[in-house]
Amino acid sequence: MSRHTPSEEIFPESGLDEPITVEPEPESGPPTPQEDAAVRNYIFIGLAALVAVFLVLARRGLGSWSLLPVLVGLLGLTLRWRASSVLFLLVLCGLIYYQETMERVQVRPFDRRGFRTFHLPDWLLSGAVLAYCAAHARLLGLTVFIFPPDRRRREEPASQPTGRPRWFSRSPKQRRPSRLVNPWEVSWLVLSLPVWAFLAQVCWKLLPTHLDAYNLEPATWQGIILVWMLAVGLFLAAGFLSYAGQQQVTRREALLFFQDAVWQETRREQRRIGSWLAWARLRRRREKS
Amino acid sequence: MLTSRGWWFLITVLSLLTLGVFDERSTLTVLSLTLLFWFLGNWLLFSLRLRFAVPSLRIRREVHDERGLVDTLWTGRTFLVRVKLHLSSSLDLPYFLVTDRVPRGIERLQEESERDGALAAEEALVLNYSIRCPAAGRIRFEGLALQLADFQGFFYAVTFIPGVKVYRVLPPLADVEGHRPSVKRHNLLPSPGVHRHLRPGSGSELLDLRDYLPGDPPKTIAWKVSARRDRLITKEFESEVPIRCTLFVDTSQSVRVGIPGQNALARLVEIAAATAQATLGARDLIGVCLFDEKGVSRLIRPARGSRHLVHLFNLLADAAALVPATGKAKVDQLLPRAYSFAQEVYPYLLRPEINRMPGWISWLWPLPLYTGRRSGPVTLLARGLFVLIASLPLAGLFLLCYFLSDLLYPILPVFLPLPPLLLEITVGFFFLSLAVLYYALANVAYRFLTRVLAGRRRRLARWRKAMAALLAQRYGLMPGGLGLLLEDNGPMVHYLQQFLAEHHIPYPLPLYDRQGRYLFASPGKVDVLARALLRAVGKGRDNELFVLVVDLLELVDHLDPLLKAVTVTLTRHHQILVLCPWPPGVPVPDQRRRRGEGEKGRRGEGEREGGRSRHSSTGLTVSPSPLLPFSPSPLLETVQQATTGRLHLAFRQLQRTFARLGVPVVCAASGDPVRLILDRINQLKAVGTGRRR
Repeated sequence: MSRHTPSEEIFPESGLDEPITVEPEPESGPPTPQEDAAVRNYIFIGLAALVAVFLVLARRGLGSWSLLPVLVGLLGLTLRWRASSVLFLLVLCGLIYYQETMERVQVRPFDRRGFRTFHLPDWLLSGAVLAYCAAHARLLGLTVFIFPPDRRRREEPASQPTGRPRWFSRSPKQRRPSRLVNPWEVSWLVLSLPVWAFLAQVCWKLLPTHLDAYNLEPATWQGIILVWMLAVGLFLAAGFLSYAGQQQVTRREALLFFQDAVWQETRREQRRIGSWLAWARLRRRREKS
Repeated sequence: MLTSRGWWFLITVLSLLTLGVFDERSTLTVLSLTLLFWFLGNWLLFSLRLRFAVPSLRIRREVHDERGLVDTLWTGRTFLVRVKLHLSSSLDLPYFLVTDRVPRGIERLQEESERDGALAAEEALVLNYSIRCPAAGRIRFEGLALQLADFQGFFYAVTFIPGVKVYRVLPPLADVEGHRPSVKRHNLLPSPGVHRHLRPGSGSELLDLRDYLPGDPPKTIAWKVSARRDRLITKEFESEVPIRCTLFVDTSQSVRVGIPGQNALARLVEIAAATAQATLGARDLIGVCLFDEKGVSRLIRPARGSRHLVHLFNLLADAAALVPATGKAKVDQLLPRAYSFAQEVYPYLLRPEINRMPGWISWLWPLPLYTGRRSGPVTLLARGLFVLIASLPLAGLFLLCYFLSDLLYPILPVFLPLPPLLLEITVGFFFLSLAVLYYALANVAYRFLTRVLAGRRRRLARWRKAMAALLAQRYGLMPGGLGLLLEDNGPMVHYLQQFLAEHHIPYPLPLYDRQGRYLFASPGKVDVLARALLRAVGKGRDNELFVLVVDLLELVDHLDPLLKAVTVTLTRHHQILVLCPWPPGVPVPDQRRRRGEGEKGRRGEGEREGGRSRHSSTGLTVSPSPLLPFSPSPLLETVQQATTGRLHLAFRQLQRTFARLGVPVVCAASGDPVRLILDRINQLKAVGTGRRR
């Protein structure tokens, strides 16, 4: 038995039977098992990432402290805590930083230049942390909101005021429906994790380690080179995007661009002429009246 | 573009990267670089989608009724809007939310006008919802607002996909059967659309006999009478002509005031449409003349037929869509409304890359420089106070110099070896120039402080530049139009009103000028109407009915040209009926005074006025305005009563003025004006046959 939408109920014979690829209408109500599966997949990825993080930290000798970032991450996954990924990163990096500092000072003199070869534990750790952050962010998009809440719109209808101030009522939040989760997006995320981690290792390896010109520390040089690399990369990407945007401007946008360029160049002259024209118009009006 | 979630993530990652790089922490650095590269990759992908996929989205909009696709809508009926969004790019859009901007004044019945989804290449998404138009006019669909986000909610973009489509909303189909006369006035009625007239014509009823004239058709010769009188006698037949009714519909500024769809013009259009249908239902001829204070905009000669009716409906729908525009509004009131609308519908024309305003300009100069707001008394007082307070240190210095003059005077000749008189003059000039310089500096400081504190003015200046550029490009004022709109408030107000009116956005208008004169009286329409009426009389035939649907309440003292035209019309044996629109929310005039005019079936009106109070000075019945959702204050109530009383007096004066000529004046807000017009038409028919019988 076919199911009619409300529009079809109003116009049962309106001739709207043109074959079009149409997504099913969004439905409210309890989530279907398929929708649950979308959320469950990301929770599973996050949990797996936390397990991996725990194992890597335990191998580094952090002992029971390894549980701390895992707990923060678990809270984020279960309570849909928005600040959880940032806190997870801070706690994790704080632990690593503390451990490396203690190793430098007490246990053994650590090579300050660090390793420059492929390091499997760090590769695993990077991939796991990335998996957790991505899964947590996507989970928030599915269960909390994906678009920033619009403060101009309030959930409280104007016809049923509850007496609360308007600023107190919440803005409606737009979640990404689970029905729109494509199985490929989960697969692509899992497959891309080692690539990003490997890319970071390659970049770190390519940074020069013994550059000490101008009495600057090698670490400072590394930072400068990294900032330059990122800046040049961003500049090129932004330039390409800007050029692509200019290639696609409409006639109205192009006219507006030229008009703005003319105005920027002849702003003072236009201002003077405009003022005189306004003066003449007002004078004519006064003379008429 | 970045959401708060994205900002927090980016800031955290960059902080960790800085710590890792500059402190040589390999694990931290690799970890941060992994997250940063992933973040940048997502940014690049999102930007590519925004640059390439979004511009390739196309909209196709269709409106259906129960029978299929339609191009025009009808008031009060339900229609299905179907919007199809098609992606013709090779890039996909993984998640977005589209919202159809439902035109103002339309009721959305079922389903939401927004929908989220994902689109792959060459796919389409369809949005369906039902609407109903409560009033005639035009509706304008602008397009779809698009919100785009990535999977993580790090990046976010809002844009608009233009797809303008304008539909005409025709007036409602009236109950024609209900308007047909139910009372049988005569035993013999001509067939529908044919009315006998006491003039020679080509009808079937005999009118008179006369001598034969060369050229008369032989078949009209009355042979028996000719034989009896021994000369040729010709039969003359009655002229069977239809009743012709012409509606003169006022579309001037005075009837456009108010909420679109609920103003006086909407009511007039509704009456005109119902009259046209009822008249054409009786196979009479009807024409329409639309006029305003500038002249006759459209004149349709009386005719009949379904095509003629549709033509009239289209004209009336266009007239109902007219909005008031006087050019007297303030820029500061129109600008925020226009800018917020442009931000929503034309975000691509407000981008800083193509529409930029240097921020420092609004800090240095006011915008506009010449026609800007003049300093009022409060401003002058504030400036005077500021300069006075700022001058206190200078006054103290002068006093100090005065008290120490005995000490300073012997020293001065050492520095200025001048004669004593010249020395005194020099010192005087020095202090005078010091005071002038100080005064100027205090004024400059005051202006600078007012610029610093006037954040709203700076914001308005920025909006003005953006809107001036958009309007100059839209209305073809380039290249100098931008400068003109920035400096002159007059053209800016004009084009802002035009922009808002084209997009059916209501905007505030001042009803009175500084001298307290009503700005929407439109006195020019009296001359226009008089000329149009005389022209119609000149081209008219036999018994015609002219219905003047015109707002004359504010023009009672300027009716001379119209009264002359009405007199000419009546001397030509035509009939005239004046239908006066009534402001919404104001109680209609007392019905008891009009009972003697032959209007029946309205006795219930007076009974419904039980809750009204009688105004003490004018003796008129007034009631609280239904427009006010709260209990009015005494002052507001007094103003409302005074306005009501003034309108009632004007209406009565109008009735008296036209009653001297025998022309009835009817209030459009009371009873059933369509029935009254049809009664008049029936009276015309009765006159034709009554004389005969």
